[in-house]
Amino acid sequence: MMGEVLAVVSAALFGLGAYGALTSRSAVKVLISLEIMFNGAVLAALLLTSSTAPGAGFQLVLFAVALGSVEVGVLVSILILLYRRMRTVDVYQVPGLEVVE
Amino acid sequence: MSQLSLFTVYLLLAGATAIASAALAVKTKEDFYAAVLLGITGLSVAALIGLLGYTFLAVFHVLVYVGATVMFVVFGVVLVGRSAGSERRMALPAAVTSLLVAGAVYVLLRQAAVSRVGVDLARAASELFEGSATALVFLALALASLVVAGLSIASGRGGGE
Repeated sequence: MMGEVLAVVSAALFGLGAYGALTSRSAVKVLISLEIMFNGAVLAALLLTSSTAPGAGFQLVLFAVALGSVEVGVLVSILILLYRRMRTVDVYQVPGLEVVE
Repeated sequence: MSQLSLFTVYLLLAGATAIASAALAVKTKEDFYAAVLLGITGLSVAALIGLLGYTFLAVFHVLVYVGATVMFVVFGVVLVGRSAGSERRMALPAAVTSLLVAGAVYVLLRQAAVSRVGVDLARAASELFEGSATALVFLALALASLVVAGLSIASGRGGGE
């Protein structure tokens, strides 16, 4: 029961994050969607290691959460710089990422 | 009819909250609400981690992830202060792709849980934490320099024109 629920939640978070990352124009929303995917990945890692190597899963997820926090700090900094230079957070208006009709 | 235990009720409640808040975070038009809903998703995932037996990790997730990461995003949203909407043309392909991704992850997790195959994570963790302590110190220094680099980029002095 527990494994089933966690697998469903993990897969749902991963899918919802992928949907948000693909459809959002706002760089902030893309970052939030990627963080939702990260939560799904954390659950999946713990689910896979909980029965075979719980200590290893604990340590690796501890590392992943710490790394994820630093990564978000850097990405938010980049987003603020993007806004200061372009006056927009629309990823479709960033030079080099424009939509070609 | 079998009675649901309190543990199962908590499990289903945390799982449903995680999925609902993630769906609302993806669908809402306001970035600020999306960031707050990301925090609720983080809290629900921490509850699931705690129910799995990793209580310290659950507390760490709340303190570091929800307490720091989500606050970073919230302050970023407040500083930027505007949103960019969504790309409607991508809705159908993105929905199909994300359904396929979610299905693949679910099948992978169920199969891996049944067959118990994969890398020896216990050995990897012991080598990482016992055999590579120096590398971990360098990793910590690299992370600290990343934070400085991020601040430098945000202030506009990180290079470029």
